[in-house]
Amino acid sequence: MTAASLQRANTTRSQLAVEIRGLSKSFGRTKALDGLDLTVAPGDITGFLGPNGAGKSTTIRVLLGLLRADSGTVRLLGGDPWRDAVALHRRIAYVPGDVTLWPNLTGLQAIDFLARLRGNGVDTRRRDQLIERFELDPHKKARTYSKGNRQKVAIVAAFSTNAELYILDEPTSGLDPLMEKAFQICVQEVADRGAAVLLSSHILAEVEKLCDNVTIIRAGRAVKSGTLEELRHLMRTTIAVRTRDDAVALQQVPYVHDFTSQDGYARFSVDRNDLDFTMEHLTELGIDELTVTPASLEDLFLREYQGADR
Amino acid sequence: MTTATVAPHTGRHEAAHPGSPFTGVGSLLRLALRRDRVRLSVWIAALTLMMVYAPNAIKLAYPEEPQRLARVNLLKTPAGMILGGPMFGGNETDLGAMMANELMLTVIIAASILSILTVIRHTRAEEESGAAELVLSSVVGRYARTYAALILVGGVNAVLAVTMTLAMSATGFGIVDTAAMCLGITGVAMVFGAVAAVTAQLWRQARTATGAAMATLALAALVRGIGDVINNSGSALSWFSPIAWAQQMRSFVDLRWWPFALLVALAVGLMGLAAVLESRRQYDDGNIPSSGERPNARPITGVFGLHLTLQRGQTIGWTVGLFLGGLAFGSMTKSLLDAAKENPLLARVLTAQGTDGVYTTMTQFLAAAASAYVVGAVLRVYSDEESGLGEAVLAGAVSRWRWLLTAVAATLVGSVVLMFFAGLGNGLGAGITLGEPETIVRLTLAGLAYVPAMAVIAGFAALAVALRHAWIGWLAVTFVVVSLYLGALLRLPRWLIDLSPVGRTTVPTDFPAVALTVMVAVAAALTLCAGWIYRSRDAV
Repeated sequence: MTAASLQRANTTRSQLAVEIRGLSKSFGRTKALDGLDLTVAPGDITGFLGPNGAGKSTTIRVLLGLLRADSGTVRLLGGDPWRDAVALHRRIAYVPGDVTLWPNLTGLQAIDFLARLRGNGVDTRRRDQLIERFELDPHKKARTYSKGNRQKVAIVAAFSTNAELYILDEPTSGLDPLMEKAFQICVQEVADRGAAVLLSSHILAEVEKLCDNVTIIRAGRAVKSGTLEELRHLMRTTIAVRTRDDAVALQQVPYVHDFTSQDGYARFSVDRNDLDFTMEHLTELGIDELTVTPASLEDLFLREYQGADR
Repeated sequence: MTTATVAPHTGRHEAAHPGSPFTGVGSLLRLALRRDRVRLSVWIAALTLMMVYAPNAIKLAYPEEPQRLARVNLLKTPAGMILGGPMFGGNETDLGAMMANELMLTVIIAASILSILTVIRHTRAEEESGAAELVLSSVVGRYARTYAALILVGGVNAVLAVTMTLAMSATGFGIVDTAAMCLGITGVAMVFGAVAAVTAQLWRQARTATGAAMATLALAALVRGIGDVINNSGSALSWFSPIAWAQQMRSFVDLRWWPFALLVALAVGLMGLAAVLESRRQYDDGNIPSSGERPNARPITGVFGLHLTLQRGQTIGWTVGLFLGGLAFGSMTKSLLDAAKENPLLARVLTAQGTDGVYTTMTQFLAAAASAYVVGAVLRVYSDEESGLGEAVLAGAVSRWRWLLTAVAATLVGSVVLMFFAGLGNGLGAGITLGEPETIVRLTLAGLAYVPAMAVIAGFAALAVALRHAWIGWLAVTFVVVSLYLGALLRLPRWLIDLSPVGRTTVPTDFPAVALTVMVAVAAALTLCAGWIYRSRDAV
């Protein structure tokens, strides 16, 4: 963590929407969560990423008070999600990744019921606006809905409430690209009015477009977290270069990683902080051709998902 | 050995006849056996043990001829006729004849329920949950799932026929008559397995398909019962029910085999009908279209409202069933009083207890049936948890307490409706045939007196939800039914029979105010205990 982000964490500590420290949860002998840390600040959209089975849904269920934490501290909007579940649920909205609906209720009945459960009133104008935005036919029985349409029901129900925290667990699975766009507008709107959003997703473009912060978890613990900019900064830049003198000498330099050389063409990666030295070094060797590629988010994610060391 | 012909077949999914509707039946059957190995073993073991235990219990309870004669005379009453079977005269006190008369109906109903549940579980339920989609996308014929389910049920019934025959004949009964009785039982079960295969094609929801098949079974039992009340050895009406066909094989009295052929013919005919119906529908669709759009659906205002809405269909179906059942029971009071004129034992019982004793027994039977509704309704909280529906509710501002307690409360509202109409039906039947209008009010109120007993059952079901063991709820129902129906026959100890809340409610004979108060307290304690456990466990 950088000094700036640490400081911010300290000042906003009391108002954090989600604050998880050292959370552990086991099911029998399986350790689903193993000392997880995660924070979401109001007004922020935090991406929550990780490979399948990393513990994302378990974390979200602990936040919802459906599962009880084995150890560690979990604060949700300043309360205990297990003890104060009901009171806290009035202030949050949730979209699961796999929506199950009562087959014999209509879409509208389900939306109204789910929104009403929050207990602070349904904004029917907002609801109708959302139904229109998502092009949902609300009068059909839920059993006739496709996966995408069931997903829309949950999204409309969640976003027609005035929540302080939105917990979204792979909310766009099954939605078409147009609807994904509509969803992104919804998320942006609630974040703009100061609500916190925890977005678990596998769609990198969505994360890149929406999220201010990202936490990546693997095997039940956070392996990376910070702003996207910080994470990018942590990644090494890839350099491909053809030099007049032999570049093999670079292999001996301590800050050069993953060096390969073929037909006089050298390829290696360096930390961003070491770019200056590298350039000086290359200039000494004489540059014929040079390509510098900053790390893409995809590289970052793939690297963290696979569990490679940095 | 003709090894030459089988040599080339090495592929795992290779079918003998590519493209036939039977392709994949073998694999599906193995899958079904693997999934159901425990479930089916328990059922088969329980039914087989019943065939050993019941004759020994009767032998112990009625060792001498006069005692047996008294028992037989008691069973010649209308209620006895409905709950047992037809009497054909002759050696009525023979142990075998008594078994065929008393035990057969129970085992027929149990085996038929097993067949219905098994068929629906492997056909419509799979389509509804979506698991069938994965199966059908592989090398599996379009109708293979239905065939596999029917073959599975056929196999189960064949095994049952063999084990039950062996078990019963081992205790000293003639093997031919025993075999006929057991084949009759499994034959009826097969018919209802085929009925379930038909209802699975008609309706899109597994619940509705199961309900329709069960209702057919209940109707068959009622028609047989009323038919046999009209004439104790079976009237024309009796023959409209396949259950009568098995009993009319007259095991241990005057054995004849041709009614069994009727059972086989009906089962095969129904299977053919199921095949035709299945060929006329598409995947995840029913022959009876389900209503799609409902623009004016009423909003659901809260959790309690949700429970009521979800239970509405079940409540209506059960209410109609219990009302008709009450009507049938009540209307038999007259013939019971007539029978007492010729049956000294019955006359003695009636003078000791009056008609109230009869009314009490009838109402207890209706309440025992209602207990199944109660458990089914409360256990929906558990099945919703499994399917992920509960998560959506509990993620709202709804406490676990509220979610579980409103389920119990909604179920109690349903059971009030059920018992009101059951009592009303009973009262109407008895009041009209006897010409005593005041009986109508009296029996309706008597029905409502069983609500505390229903609350106790609901408490057990809530406990089953909290502990994630649905069987606890069904065990409570089984106990209530067995203690009431077979308690005396199986020689269960008095204290055990007295544990049944339905058995302890003796309205309208007397009004056990203390017992009812205790029941309310027990129900509250059970429900609170369940709520406390439910609150402190993981909810997904």
